[in-house]
Amino acid sequence: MPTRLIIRLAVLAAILAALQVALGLVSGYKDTPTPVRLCDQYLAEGRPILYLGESTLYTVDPREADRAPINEMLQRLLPQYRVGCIAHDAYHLELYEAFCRYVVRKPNPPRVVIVPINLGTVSPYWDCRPAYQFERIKLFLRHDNRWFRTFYRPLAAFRAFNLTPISEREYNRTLVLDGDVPVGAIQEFTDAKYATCTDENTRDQLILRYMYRAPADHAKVIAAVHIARELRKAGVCAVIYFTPIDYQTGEQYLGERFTARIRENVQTFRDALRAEDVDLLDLSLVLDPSKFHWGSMYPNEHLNEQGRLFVAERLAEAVRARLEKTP
Amino acid sequence: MQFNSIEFLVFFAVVVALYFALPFRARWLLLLIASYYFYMAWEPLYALLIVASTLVDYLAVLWMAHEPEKTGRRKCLIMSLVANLGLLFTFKYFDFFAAWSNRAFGWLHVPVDIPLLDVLLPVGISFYTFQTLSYTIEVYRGHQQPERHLGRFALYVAFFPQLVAGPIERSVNLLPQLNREHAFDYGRVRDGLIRMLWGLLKKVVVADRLAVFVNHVYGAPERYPGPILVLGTVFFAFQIYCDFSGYSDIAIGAARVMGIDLIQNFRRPYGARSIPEFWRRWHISLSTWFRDYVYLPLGGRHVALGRWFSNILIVFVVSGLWHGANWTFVVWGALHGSYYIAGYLLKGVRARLARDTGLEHRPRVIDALRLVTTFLLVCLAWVFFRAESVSQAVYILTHFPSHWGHLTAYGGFARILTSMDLSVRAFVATVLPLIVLLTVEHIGKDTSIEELVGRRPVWMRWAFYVVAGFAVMNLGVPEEIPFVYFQF
Repeated sequence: MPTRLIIRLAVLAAILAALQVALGLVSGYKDTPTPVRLCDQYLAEGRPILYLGESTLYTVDPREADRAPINEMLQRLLPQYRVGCIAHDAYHLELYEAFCRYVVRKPNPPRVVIVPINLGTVSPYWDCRPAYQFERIKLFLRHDNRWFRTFYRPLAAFRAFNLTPISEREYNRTLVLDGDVPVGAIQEFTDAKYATCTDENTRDQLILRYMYRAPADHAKVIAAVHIARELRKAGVCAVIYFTPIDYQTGEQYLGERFTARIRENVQTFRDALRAEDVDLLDLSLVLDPSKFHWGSMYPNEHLNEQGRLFVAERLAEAVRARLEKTP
Repeated sequence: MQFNSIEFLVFFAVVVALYFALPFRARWLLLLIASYYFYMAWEPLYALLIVASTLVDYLAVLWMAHEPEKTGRRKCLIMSLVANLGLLFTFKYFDFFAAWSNRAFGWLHVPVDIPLLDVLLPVGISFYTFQTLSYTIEVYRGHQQPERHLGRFALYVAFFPQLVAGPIERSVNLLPQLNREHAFDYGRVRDGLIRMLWGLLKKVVVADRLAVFVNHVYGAPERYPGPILVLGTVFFAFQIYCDFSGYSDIAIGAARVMGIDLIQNFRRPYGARSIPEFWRRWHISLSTWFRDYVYLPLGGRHVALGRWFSNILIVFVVSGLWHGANWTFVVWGALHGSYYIAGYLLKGVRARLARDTGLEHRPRVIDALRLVTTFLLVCLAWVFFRAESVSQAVYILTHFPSHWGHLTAYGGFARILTSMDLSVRAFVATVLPLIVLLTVEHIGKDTSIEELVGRRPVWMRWAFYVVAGFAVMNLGVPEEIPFVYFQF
C-alpha cells in the first residue's frame, strides 16, 4: 500500500517539477531581482565601467539646476566609456562584494568597478538593519544558474532560505557604541522623540551613525578586502573611494573626536586593504558643509550639485588614470 | 519549524515513514521525540515549560485519583490551575501588568518601579496550557480516566501537529486515539494529504499575499485614504481566517495521515448570520473551551439577565486577553461580547422591522442582510485585533469615511499599490485565489475539502493536486510571514 502512495507522490512531484521548468522558460525567470538583471544587461552590452553605489549617488536637492546623479555626471566627464550604475538607498560593501564576485565570473567583466565606502554603513544602525541585508539579491548573485532561478520561488515559499538573518527585535536591541562604549540600544535612538530636531538629538544621531569604531574584522572591512582581491585576480581595476562626510557639522556637535573617529575608521580600511595593493580615494574629510544637502533634518552624507560634481570629477580622474594604465 | 517549510516537509515524511514502520508499542516514543524536536526547533529552552506543565498535570491528576474527598480533589485542581495559569501569566502577561502598574504608580506619585522580565513569548504557550488544563478539569469532573502512562500523557500535551497553534484538543478525544493502533490506510493518508495541501494553499497563496497589503495599511494608516483602510480591514478578515484555518487544516491533515482525528476548528465562519453563530464556527476549539470551563461554571444562561450579560462579557474579555497582553485584544473581546448582548436585546426590534418592511416573507433577503451585517461587525472588531494600539484602531475607524471619491488625490489606486511594492497584476493575483477559495467553500458548504475532492473522478482529483501544488509553489510570498496565531 505505501508503495502505491510513494509512486503517486513521485509522479506528482515530477509533473510539478516539469511545469516549473516550463514556467521558467516561458516567463524568462521573472524572479531574478531587477539589479541582477540590470547587471546582466550591462555585461551583455560590454559596458567598461560599473559603478556600484548607494543614496549619495543620486539624492539631490530638488531646487538644483543640475539634478544629475554622480554616475551621470561621471558619464559626461567620460563620454568615451559607457558607465553602468547599480545603486539603491541602502546598498553597502557586502552587497558590492556579491556583485563583484558575480561579474568576475562572467566572460566579459567590466574594466573598472567603482565602489564607494560610506563610513555610515559600518555603524550597527545600518550594518544590522533587517531591511538592509538584501539576502535575495545576494542569493541570486551567488547562485548564478538557471536551475536556481527556476526553483527559487518554490524553495523560497517553503523557507529554504533565510531572507531575514536578523529580526527587528534583535536589531532594536543592538547596542549603539560610541567608540567602544555602549551608549544605549538602537530602539532608544530611533524612538518618537527624534521626530523633533534638537541639538541633543542631533548629537545622538551623529553618534548613532558615525561614532562606532570599526574593528579590523568588521564584515564591511572584510568585504572591502574581498572586493579588492577578487577584482585584482580577475584583472579588473578597482576604484574604491570613501564618500564625503559633513565632518565640520559633526565637529560642531561632537568636537574634534568626530573627525578623529572618521580618520580612525578610514585607517582601519586602509590597513586592511594595504596587502591588496589598491589605490584608495579618500574623500571623507574634503568637503565643507556648503557641499551637502542632508534632505532629512539630521546630518548625513547626501550631497548637493557641487558636492556630486566634485566626487564625479575625482572619480573621472581615477578611472582615466587606471584605464590608461591598462590596455 | 513552520509548516510551510522544507524542514517540516522532510521532518514529516521521516516521522510518518518511521511511524508506520515501527510496532505500535514504540510509536508513542517516536511521536514524543518528534514533537519535542519540532518544538525545540524554535527555542530549545522553552521545551522545559512544556515538561513542567506536563509533570504538574500528570502528578496533580494522579494525586487527584487517590483523593476520595471532593475537597482533596479540588486542591489538586487548584494546584494545576495555579501552576499553568501562573506559567502563562509570567511569560505572557507579567510585563503588560507591570508596565500598567508602573504607569498607575507614576500617576499616583508612588515611587515604585516593577522591573519588566522582557522575555520572549514561548510559542504555543496559550494552547498547550489550555490543553493540559482541560485534561485536569475533565478528570476532576469525572469525564476522563487518569492517564497513568507518563509518556502517552506527555504526547497528548505535546503532539506536534497541534502543539503550537491548536486546535486545542480535549483529552477525551485525543488520549484514546493515542492509545489505539492505527494501521496504514491509503484512503486516510490521501485525505490527510489533501487537507494539508488545502491548508498550505490557504496560508501561502491567500493569507500571505493578503498580508502584504494589510501590513502596509496597518503599518502606516495615516498614508492611506478611507477606502484603502476599509479594504485593508476586509483583507485582514480573510487573511486571519485563511492563515489560522490554514494552520488548523495542516494540523488536522498531518494528524489524519497518522490515523488520528483532531477536532474541527473552523466551519465557514463568514457564512454566519449572527455573532453567536460566528462563534460556533470560528476557532471552535477555543470557544468551546471557554464555554465549558468558564461560561458554564459562571452559571451560563441559567442566571438572572444582568448576571448572564456580565458572564458573556467576562468570557469574551478573557478570550480577548487570551490572544495577547494588549488593550486592543481586550477591546476586541469586549466588542464581541457587546455584539452578543445587543443581538439578544434587539431581537424583538429586528423581528418587528422585518414584519413592517415585509421582509419576513423573504427569508433569503433577511439571511443575506444578516450575513453582511455580521461580517461588517466582525470586521469592525478586527480593526482592534490587528491595530498596534487602541489609539491606532480609533484612528483607522474614524478615518474609514475619509476621502471616498478622492482616490486621485493619492495618485489613484495603481499608485497606492506601487507604494506598497505591489502592481495591479499582483493585486489581482491576491484577490483571485481568495475568490476561488470562497467559491469552493461555498460550493462545499460543510463538506470537508478531502470529501469534496476525494469523491471526484481521478482526472479531477489530479487536476486539483497539480493546480493547488503549482499555486503553492509559485503564488507564495518569498518573505517570511509567520502564522498569525503563533504569537498567542
